[in-house]
Amino acid sequence: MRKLLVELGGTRAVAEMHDDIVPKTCDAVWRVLPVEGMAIHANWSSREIMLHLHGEKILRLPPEGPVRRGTTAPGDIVYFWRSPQMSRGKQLAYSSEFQRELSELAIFYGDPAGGGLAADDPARSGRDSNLQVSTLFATLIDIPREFARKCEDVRHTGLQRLLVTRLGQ
Amino acid sequence: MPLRVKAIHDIWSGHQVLVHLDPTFVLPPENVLTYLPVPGDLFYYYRPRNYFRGAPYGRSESAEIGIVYDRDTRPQGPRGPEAVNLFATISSGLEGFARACEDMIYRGQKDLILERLE
Amino acid sequence: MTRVRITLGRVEAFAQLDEKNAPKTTKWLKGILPIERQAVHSMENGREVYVVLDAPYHIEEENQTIYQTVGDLIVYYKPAIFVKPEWPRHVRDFLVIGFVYERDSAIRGMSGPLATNLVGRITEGIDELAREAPRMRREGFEKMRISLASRDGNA
Repeated sequence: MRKLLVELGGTRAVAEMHDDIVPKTCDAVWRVLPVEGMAIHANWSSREIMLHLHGEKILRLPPEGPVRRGTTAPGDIVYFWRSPQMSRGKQLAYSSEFQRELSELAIFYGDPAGGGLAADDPARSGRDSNLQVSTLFATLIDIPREFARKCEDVRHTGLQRLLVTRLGQ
Repeated sequence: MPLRVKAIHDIWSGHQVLVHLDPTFVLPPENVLTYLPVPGDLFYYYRPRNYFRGAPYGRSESAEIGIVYDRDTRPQGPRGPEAVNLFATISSGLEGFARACEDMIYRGQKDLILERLE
Repeated sequence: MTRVRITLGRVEAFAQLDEKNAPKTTKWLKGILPIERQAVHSMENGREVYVVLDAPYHIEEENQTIYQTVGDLIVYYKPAIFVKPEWPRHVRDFLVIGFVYERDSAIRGMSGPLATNLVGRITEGIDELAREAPRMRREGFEKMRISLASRDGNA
């Protein structure tokens, strides 16, 4: 299994990719690494920080792997894509580079992970479910306490630089 | 437009009236609202035949315009909340419009006219 | 009709309390004002900012709705798991007062929508709050103060 190194504000965590379950998504993410940017805390999906992909790093991937039903565990890293039609509102918290078409890596760092409206809203899982893609492609091997604390800090003290790189290859 | 149609009060969603359009009027998702509308929101919604269970209008293919006239409302049907295309919001006259809509709960359908205001 | 002033970071807004429909909660609220606490952004409800009221108040269910919308001033018990990362397990929830600043938001419990006491509506300054809260998501959260305001808007 390929591994990722996630660095946030001087803390580190290592994740293992799910090559055996979602190989195409893993390949696509691997190709755009390293990715770096300012991580923002979730406001829907509980203990999650997000890194929006910009410019040539934007990934537009089809769904892959088993259908997930809102069960996201601490440590999971999810590739998320949302069509521009779904991005309503002003989105003022996001960077000026933010696009209505959202492509991001979402890192779930604690409990509860997910469970937000976006994850299990029946309105979003209806006929137009092709409006978003959510693929679990990696999971942190463990969640160092200082890494989780730094993630929680993003919620209270604002954006932090996040870097995701290939580890060992 | 102009549209001159019979409006009915919704039975699933709360404070909302709707009109049925020609069901072949099918639009892709745009400015999708999955959660709460605000009073005065106008939205478009389409469902294919047999998407819902239930009479009188659940089983038919349908394209609709819904108008929300008060809070505590969420577009939904027998399968739960539905995503809709939000395309306009009433900017004046909502109070009187809401009274007319509420009256439909007791007295049934009313004529609805939707036309361009240049 | 009682007006309250909400000061968040660099902006202020005013809300009208709904004393007719939430008489007990608004009476209690008026009794504890002014309050100033660390503001927190919701991580599970969308565009919501709240403060934790750490005294052991008992608030009854009143003027409740699960359909919270822009400008609502709400009081409710938020599940502790959404407040502290390592919450004291004997504490199941925290009493909070907060507001919703943008549509497409919804207050949630652990398993679905959570009904909240609607205690008032923000009548002035919601646009300012709707700019300040996202700024604080980027730059860090400051305190929120809620105090009684006179009819002319002066404290």
